[in-house]
Amino acid sequence: MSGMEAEAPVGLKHKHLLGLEDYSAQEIHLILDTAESFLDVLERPIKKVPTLRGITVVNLFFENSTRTRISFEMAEKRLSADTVNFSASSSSTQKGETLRDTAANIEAMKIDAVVMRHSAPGSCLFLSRCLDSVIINAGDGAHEHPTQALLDLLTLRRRLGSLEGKRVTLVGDILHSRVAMSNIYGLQKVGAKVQVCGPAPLVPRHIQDLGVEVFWNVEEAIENSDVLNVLRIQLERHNAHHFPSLREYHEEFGVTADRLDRHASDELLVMHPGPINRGVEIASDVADSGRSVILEQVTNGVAVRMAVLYLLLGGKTREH
Amino acid sequence: MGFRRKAQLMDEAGLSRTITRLAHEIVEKNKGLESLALVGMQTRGVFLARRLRDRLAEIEGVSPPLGSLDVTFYRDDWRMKLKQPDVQATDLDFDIHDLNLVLVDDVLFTGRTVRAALDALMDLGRPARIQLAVLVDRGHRELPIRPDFVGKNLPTSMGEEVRVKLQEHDGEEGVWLVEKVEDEA
Amino acid sequence: MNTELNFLECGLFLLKGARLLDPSAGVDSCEDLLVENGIIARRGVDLEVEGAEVLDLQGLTVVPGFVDLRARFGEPGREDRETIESGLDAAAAGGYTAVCLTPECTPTCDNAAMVEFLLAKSRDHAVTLLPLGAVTAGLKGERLADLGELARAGVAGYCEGNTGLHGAAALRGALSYSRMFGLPLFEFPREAGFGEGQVHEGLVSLRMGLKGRPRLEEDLGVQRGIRVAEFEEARLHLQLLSTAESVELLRQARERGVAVTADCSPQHLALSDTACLDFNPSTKLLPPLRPEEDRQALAKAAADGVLDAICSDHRPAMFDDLDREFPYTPFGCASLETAFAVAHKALVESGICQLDRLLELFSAGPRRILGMPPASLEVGAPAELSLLDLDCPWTYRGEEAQTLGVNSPWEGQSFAVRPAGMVNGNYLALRG
Repeated sequence: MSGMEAEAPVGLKHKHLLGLEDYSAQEIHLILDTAESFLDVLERPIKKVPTLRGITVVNLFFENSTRTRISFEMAEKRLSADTVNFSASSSSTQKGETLRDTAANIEAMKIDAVVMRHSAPGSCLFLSRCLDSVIINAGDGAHEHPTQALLDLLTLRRRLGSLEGKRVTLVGDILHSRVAMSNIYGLQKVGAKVQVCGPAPLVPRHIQDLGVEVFWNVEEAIENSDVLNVLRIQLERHNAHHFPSLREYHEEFGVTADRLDRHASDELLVMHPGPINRGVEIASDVADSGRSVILEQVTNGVAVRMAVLYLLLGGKTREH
Repeated sequence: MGFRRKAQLMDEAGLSRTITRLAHEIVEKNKGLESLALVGMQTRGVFLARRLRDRLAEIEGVSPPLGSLDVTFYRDDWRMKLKQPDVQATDLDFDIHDLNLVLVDDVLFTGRTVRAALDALMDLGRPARIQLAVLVDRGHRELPIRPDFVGKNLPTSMGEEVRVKLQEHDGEEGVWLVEKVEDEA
Repeated sequence: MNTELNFLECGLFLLKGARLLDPSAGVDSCEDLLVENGIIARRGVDLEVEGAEVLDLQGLTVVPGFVDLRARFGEPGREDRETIESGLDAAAAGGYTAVCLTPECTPTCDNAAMVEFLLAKSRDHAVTLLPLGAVTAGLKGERLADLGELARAGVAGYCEGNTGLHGAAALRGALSYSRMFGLPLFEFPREAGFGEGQVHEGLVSLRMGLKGRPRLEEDLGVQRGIRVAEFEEARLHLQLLSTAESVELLRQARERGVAVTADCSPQHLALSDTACLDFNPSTKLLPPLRPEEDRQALAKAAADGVLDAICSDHRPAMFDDLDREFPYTPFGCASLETAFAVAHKALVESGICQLDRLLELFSAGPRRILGMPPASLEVGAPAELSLLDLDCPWTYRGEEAQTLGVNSPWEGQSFAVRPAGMVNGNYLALRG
């Protein structure tokens, strides 16, 4: 409370983070800028700040996603929030207790925010209509996974400076990907050009209507990219109509050192949201190479989630 | 609601003289600049700390380490505001362990920002000692915090505020007492 | 707004002051109408009849009665969604004199006992219930139900509900066998194997992250239906067309004389797939809401006679059905009470067709498909009349509606016209 003028007139216009589709470029940059400050905090001997003391965050995970949950949990703890983990299978909300009842029960224990992972698209929006708490989407089916896209943006911004005009190609299963849409929205809003590359049955035809260029040839995609974001191939989601075998997938679309040596610019960066299937969508010698920013993504993930929690739980105190 | 300037407390020359005096007091109290470092609090404290560092270099011929501190994450009032404060850089590129730190801010008021700064510094290491230098102490403390070096003591009313303007940040130089005025409808 | 629906059963009643409108018969006059023992007994100006129940219908328009070709209630099995009584009340409020009920109850309407149960349950209601029999036993798509037994029990036609008959061979067999009983076969055309899409496959499904249903799924089903009907030289009725391509296929088939008829829902005439973007479960329909260009093609086909009828496709659901994640909510919406107002807005108020054509789509069209003669306002005809208020700004509120279903995409929306009730034989229903 020094005698300074009013604080900076910035902030998020949203109560929740349900997706990036309706976040502005300004809001995205605010999150990334704030995350940079938290990256500094993560470099300190004591990697914890008291910012969210007294705030309770519930991690409501209806799908197994150990990494995302740990990343959120780490972010919450480093902000001194109290955290509770709740895991259940989505199918239990189909048969037993409804999602509303589960969430309402948890909210009745006086919480401030819910971080939710759920297989059903739109479920975070649904939850935001049921509860007063702040809702943060940790992945709702193939709809959005905004914090993953934000951490990708942070990683690229730190590596490349501005993303204006940079060509970022998502490689793999776009159709079932939980990160594709958020990445497209986020990248386009900060001025990057988004491209996708994958087996045609796994690339939604209408993606071009979003201004996204489509490649069916991975080498052509590599030649025309500054960044490859290699998505995980989840075999359980695929049937024989999508592609014949993992072996053929690797032959046709695998990102290998040989392909990069022949077709990539020296500066090309390789990302992967993890967990990686070595030898399927990405070769080991690429994942572990100097081009790979995969581990930076993980570090940045904690900082971005700290920023999101900090910005959304700022503003008015919760009325008890 | 706006603010009206009521009185000028320091002009450019006054500010410069005050910095010089604070620098001398710091040297005197610490018996030199051995293990001393300056930490400016965002925003104007950073510029004041830089000026103090330059003045100390002129006096003693040695330039003490200088860092900046943003205490946003440590504040206890941020959740009461409608807008999130802008987070600024904390930049301390030296190890604060066992140093004599002088924390620099422009105006001391309730003491809550200083409390947050103390917590932030403790998380960064274990300094030997922390002292506080402020340009203006306007009173109304809510915590048991007392400055070690004060440019000017100025009792104010709650309707008044103190505005420090620095050339590097504001494009003008001086310290003013301002008061709240209701907007004409 | 008085929304109460009053029912009356009476052997002699006099409808006074209404406009009588039957464009197909050249009737448009302000006359009174006497209904005696369910038959239109007299028509004339300022009728006075001793002992008749007199009803003042000033401001209303009396038209040939509406018949719905496709509604689903919940009884038996899911009475929480809709009972036969609440469903027929909703039909009366929608101006319908008769409603075809899909066989999707529990147990399935695939035997004479179920038909008898449905007919018995609805016997004393103003609205006539027309049960449709399942084409295959239990709607399982395996062996044919006893279609002859169903015919004798009184079904109005055969229908395979929301599953449709999968494969040309199955459809051919069903059509070939069912035609012996002189009853129409209602087919919900779609190609199997495209999976459980939630919305139309396109930009909307992509943005929502949902599995989509491509137009191809329907177009192939329509093509198959047309070819089978053509090959068998039999009559087939296709329900709920929604794509530009399927109405084009239909247009071509009709031009070469194939005996296919088709309908669509008011929802598909009025809404496009972007209505789904808010994840409102009441917009999750089967077939899915399609892009705007399909909606326009569908409206044009309804206007120019390629489509024969508009069916409500009433599929009520209760709060608990909807209060869950979008993919787990049921398909369909409650629509009996809004069907006419919605279709009027989409076709007449938008200038695509005249009121005459809309009335055909609600009355003469569906009756022809069911093999019923057109309803008439002439003396001597059975009294099957819809009562319309053609100047009645109103707002749909689920809580004031007759249906138990809360899944209306029209909640809170305003319309310009509204059915005021209906007359069916000795029965009358009237709002207010």
